[in-house]
Amino acid sequence: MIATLADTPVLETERLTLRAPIPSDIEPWVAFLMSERGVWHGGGPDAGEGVAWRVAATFVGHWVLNGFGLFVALDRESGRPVASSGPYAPPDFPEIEVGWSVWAGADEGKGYASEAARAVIAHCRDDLKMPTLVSYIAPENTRSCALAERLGAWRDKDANGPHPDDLVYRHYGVAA
Amino acid sequence: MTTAPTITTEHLNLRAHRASDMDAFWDFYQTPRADFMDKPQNRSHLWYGLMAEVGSWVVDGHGGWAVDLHDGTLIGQVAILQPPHFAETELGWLLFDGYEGLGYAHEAAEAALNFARETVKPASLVSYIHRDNTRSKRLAERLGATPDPQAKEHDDEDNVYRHVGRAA
Repeated sequence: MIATLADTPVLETERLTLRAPIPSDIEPWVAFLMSERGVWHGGGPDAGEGVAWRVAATFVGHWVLNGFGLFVALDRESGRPVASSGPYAPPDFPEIEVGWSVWAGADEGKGYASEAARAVIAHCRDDLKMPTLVSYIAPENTRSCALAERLGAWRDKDANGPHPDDLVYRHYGVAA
Repeated sequence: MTTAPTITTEHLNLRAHRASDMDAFWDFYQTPRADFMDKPQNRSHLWYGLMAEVGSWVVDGHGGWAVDLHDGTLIGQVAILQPPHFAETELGWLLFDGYEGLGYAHEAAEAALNFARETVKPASLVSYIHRDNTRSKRLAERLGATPDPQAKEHDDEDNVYRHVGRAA
């Protein structure tokens, strides 16, 4: 018996379909989380497969307990999962965060992350009516910082992140 | 949304986790009863663990249950999990301070074991138990499991108790 997440929203963009995770996403998601770039999402090459699995399973459990979470973005033409993005609210995050990741190195630079994140931010604001939305980004993750700025977010130096070094990029709303 | 199925036994309800279970589990991990377990370093780590045990139901068709008395008091957890770094599927249990010695852990673990046998049907099922955790080892034996010194441990300090099948 493999269960599925039911009654979850689907977002369509020009090239992508964003839907809640399904079991077959876990293998490529874990592979991404074990890669060099997975280090920004709680994984990385040193963390190992067990940690990567736990992070991916956490992203799925987040949907069940919160009713929202990270979407998996499929390239509609091939049906292949290429990226993930969605609102995320662990207890140590001062505000709801939107994150994004392109899973395979070969899919970087195609604009998938920005296309997915744009749809997710609009969904958080217009459908879920989340009062504020930020991205917490490590300063060394310069590509993500640049993307946050391209998405129209601005550095909020008065807002706190979960880690003291994080930069807080604000998409909309005012810190509580 | 998909969650763990509720299983009712003589004294207990095994039910899907709720976000409000967090506090009780945090308190448990501060007690010596958790000394044989991988303790979360902070509340965020605990949250990740609990979320993964919930997400596992969607990913693998099994995961963690909260264990309640029939009056709704949360007294522990049972789980069927197989993260990829576990050699085999694992049945685990934990019981909060003050509820031991009443047969509750046995009752909850037996219900989960039956669910595994009837519904999950894993190729094999073991419990990884710290070698000094004599009470848990005794419970594994009462459930009918036998020590399998040939099986791959999850941790150097574990003993492996086998419920179902053989090591791959």
